[in-house]
Amino acid sequence: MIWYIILLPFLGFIAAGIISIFNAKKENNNSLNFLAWLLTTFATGLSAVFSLWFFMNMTKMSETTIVYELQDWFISGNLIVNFAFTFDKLVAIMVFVVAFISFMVHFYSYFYISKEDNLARFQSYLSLFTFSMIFLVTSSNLIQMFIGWELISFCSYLLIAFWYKEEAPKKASAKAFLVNRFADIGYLLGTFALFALIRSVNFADIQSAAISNVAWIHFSIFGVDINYIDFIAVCFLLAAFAKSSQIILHIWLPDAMEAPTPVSALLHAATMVTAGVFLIIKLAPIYEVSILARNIILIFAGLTALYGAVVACMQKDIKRIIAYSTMSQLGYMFLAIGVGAFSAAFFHLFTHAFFKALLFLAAGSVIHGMSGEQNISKMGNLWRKMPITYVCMIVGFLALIGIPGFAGFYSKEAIINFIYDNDVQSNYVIFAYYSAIIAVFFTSFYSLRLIINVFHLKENYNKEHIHVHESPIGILFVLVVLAILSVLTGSFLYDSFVGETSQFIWSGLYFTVKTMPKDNLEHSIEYLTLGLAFVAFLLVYVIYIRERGLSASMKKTFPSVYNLVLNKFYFDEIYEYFIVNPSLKLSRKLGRFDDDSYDKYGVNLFASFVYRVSRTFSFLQTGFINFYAVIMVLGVFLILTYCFFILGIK
Amino acid sequence: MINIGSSNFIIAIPEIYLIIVAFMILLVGLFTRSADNSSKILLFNRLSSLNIIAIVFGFILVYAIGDMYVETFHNLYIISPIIFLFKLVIIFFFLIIAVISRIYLIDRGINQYEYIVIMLFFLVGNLLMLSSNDFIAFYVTLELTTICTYVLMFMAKKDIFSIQAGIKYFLLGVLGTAFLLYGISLVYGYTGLTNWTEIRAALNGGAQNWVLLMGLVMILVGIGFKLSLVPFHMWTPDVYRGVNKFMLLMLSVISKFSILFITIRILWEPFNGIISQWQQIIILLIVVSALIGFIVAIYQTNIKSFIAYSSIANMSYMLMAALAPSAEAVKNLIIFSIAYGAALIGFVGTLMMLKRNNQPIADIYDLKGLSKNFPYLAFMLSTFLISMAGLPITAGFFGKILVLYSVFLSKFYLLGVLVALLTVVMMYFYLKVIKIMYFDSFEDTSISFYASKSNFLAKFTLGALFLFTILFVVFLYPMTKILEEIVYLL
Repeated sequence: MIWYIILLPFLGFIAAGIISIFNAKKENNNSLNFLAWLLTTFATGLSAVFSLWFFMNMTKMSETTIVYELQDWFISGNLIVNFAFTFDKLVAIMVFVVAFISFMVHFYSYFYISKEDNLARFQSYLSLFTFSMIFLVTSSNLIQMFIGWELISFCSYLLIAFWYKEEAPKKASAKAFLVNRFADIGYLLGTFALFALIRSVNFADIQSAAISNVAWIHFSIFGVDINYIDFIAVCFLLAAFAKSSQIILHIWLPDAMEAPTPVSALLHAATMVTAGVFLIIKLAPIYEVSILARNIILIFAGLTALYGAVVACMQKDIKRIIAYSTMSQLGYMFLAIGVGAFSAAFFHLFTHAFFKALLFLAAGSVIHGMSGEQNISKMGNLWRKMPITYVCMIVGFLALIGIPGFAGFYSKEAIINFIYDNDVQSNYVIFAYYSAIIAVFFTSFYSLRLIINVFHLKENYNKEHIHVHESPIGILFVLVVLAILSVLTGSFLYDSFVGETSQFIWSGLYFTVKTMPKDNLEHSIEYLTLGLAFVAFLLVYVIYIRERGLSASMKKTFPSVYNLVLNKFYFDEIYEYFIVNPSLKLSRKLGRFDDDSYDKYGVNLFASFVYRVSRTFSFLQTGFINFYAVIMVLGVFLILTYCFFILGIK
Repeated sequence: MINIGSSNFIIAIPEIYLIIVAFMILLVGLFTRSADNSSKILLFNRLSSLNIIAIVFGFILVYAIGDMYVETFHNLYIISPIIFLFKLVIIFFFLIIAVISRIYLIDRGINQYEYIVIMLFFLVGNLLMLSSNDFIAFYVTLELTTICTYVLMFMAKKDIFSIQAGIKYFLLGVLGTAFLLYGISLVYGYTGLTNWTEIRAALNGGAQNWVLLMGLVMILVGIGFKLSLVPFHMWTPDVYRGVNKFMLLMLSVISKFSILFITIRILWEPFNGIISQWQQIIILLIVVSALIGFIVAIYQTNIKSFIAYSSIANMSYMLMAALAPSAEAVKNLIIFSIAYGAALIGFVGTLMMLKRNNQPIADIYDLKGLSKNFPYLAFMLSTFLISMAGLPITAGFFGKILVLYSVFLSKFYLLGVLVALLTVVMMYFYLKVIKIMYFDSFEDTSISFYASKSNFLAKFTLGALFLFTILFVVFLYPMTKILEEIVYLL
């Protein structure tokens, strides 16, 4: 069965890819597009069904890990790399999430992508994306996982640049690819160091190798002693931070919004950004030992949670707001990892997948209804015209904010409680705690701001040109399904993921399971976050409905703060100034240096020398036989001389 | 195993059979009335079809004789597993060349049925030479092949360049043969023997005599002339440029390969005892030939003279496999020769089918714009060129790397590195041709592809060569297995 789970999306990719080639040759053929859509959707849907079934079977089985060996890949000394697929409960759930969200997105795309575009190509990329993520998740060693790791970078590159005829998507895709490629250094270095330390790259060995026994080993470089485990942990963090867009390496994520909306939904909910979190959870034993790495995580994740939420408050593009909210939520997941609550991180990943997919697809529905408009200040009063989208979006945002009863509440409260309950009370943890709390405030603020701007307030668009309409039934179906899941997943699964029965579910896995029974939840924290959310709601009400002039006067009073947030803390500009421009200059200079010195006096000189020798010898080809004969006889004498005098043979 | 007289002559049946066929073709030609040109062409066409079928049977006969150790004709003629392989390679490539050049020859104005007869004698000469076990037999059969090539060159009566090439080859060839004969007589003078088995036994303890060594040098000079090793290579570019593409293939594939194979046998069999002496001479010849061949090749713009230098270089490359007698070396050499021969025949054979301004393609710049007019042919040519250059996944890569591997196994590290580096130099030329085909701008569309419908077999053969070259990875393992089974010992 697992072969179907893994291979079905790949087969879908191949089928749709072949169809798309035919499509590109002719005019776009609607029936071909429909066929490609049907095949890929069916394939991923089947994969989702199988993965759910497989998970159900796994809960009944006694063994915790199932390994399917396929083939030796390569063996080099101690390094033995297999092609093998490992399933444990965590992996099975993850595969289900990926396949399910992907199925939803596949289904949705038919109604969203306009008829002029090559839908078959789009579907084939989506399927490849899904396959790569499933491949990554089920890999049994770091080398094999690296294939999936690179493939998802590549697929995101393809998908972000789906509308490759415009300028912005091309740039955004290159940016995403480059940032991720840069961070791959971390992945590779980490893999090498890990192999140097424990002589294996298999997850099974990492998880059973009693990392705490080797935690004391140091290596020295340029006289600096570095702890192996800390080094490995930080290296993998670099890779995970880029994929999961933590602050400093987050710059690609907002720009990735140039992709079609279904791609954003898939990228943010299930495939790309969760890969980093998943990698860290897979390597949990290392992070349980390395205090340094966890402190780094706490700082960066806290900053990310705050940064994403704050920046989202000032954005105007509906998709960018949701993108920054993803960043903020990923910050929460890493915060949980930072205090060692891996199950809580995974739980948040799980619930977040549903409500973030919901939010993006609902935003897509709005954009679809508004005929491509993305600026929230140019919308307004849409709730009468698209009621179902409205309700679904509200459900999504309530889940995002963490209102009791919705999925986000359970996972987020669990994370905040884990931080609060942490055994070690260092400054890092306190910082993490406050940033997690404050981020809730900003989250509530931008959520309500978006809802009010889009669905209430006065219409701010040209009614004659834009005929707002509710989306087709296919889109609404997807939204309703995801909305229901966004409500249910939290309360139903809380106990099994982080609550009382979580010991049973996660038994035999590789991280220490921390449990947080429901009645253990600190109610004061709950009230605090709810209170903050309420204050944020009030603030939005005041700024956008009651006192219209307030925001303008605030802009005047604090122009620097306003500009700072509006321009996303100038991250792009800083990168442009300190990294992009200097490296461009440097590479230009190096290129000129290469031309002027190395090429001129090294390569070209040698080449022209060889060429001259070649020419000289071809001029010897005079065409006179007597000359040739003389050379032959001379040659005989030379060989004889060589034999008798130089070799000294008598 | 001693076989007296002709009781065992059955093992020479392929050659006997081919000689009979040659005479039959001669008789048919003699007694067929062919006054005008068209009836001559018809006769030539039919006889060359017959010729192809005859060679197929010859191939089957060689295969049927099998890989055993048998001597006959008073130890003048011998069969062994290695000879069996050599003969298969030669007759196989001969068959391919005969198939692809049938229409080409008629187009070049050659319509005498005697041409086919001489072709067959040339093949018989090569096969007999590979089987010879005596300096006398070797000399006679070598002369048979050489005289056949002279005749074939002279037979293109309308082609003045071919005749000029024939004269040059003839005059210099006489000089080379003189050295060879002198060498043979010196060896005879020292040992009193001409039979290789006996010479091997006589020299088994090693010998340090200047008469013997001079004989060896003179024999190597004679062979080196035929292999066009530097400094006896001067005739090669001139002759290659003059002859037509069919003769080009005969010289650069059939003749070169069979002489190389017999060189290996001469070095390993009669002169096995003085291996340390001839190794030095051979290394010298290899280094000089590789330097000249690989470097001078890149200046050429004429395809035929490029192939001349390319074959100088590749002969020196193949000669490296002869440096240390081992089954491994033979195996790798066979794989190299198959890969190189397939690529060369494919390249020249494809060019045979192309014309520009109704003239045969002679210069590499004639290929400008080929990729636009004939994308498939351009791709085929590129594949053959890449294979000759020795870039990965094509056949040439594996051939080159295997020969290099056996050189490193016999511990000639410096030589191997030098030749490998020189190979890189020549890559310039191959890639330049590909660049001309694909990237150079062109105006006219005067390249015309001519291959009449009746020539389906030639197209099919070229396609098979192309597939073989590009999918060599698939054939490599079974081929290695089969070769290992045959070359179990020397």
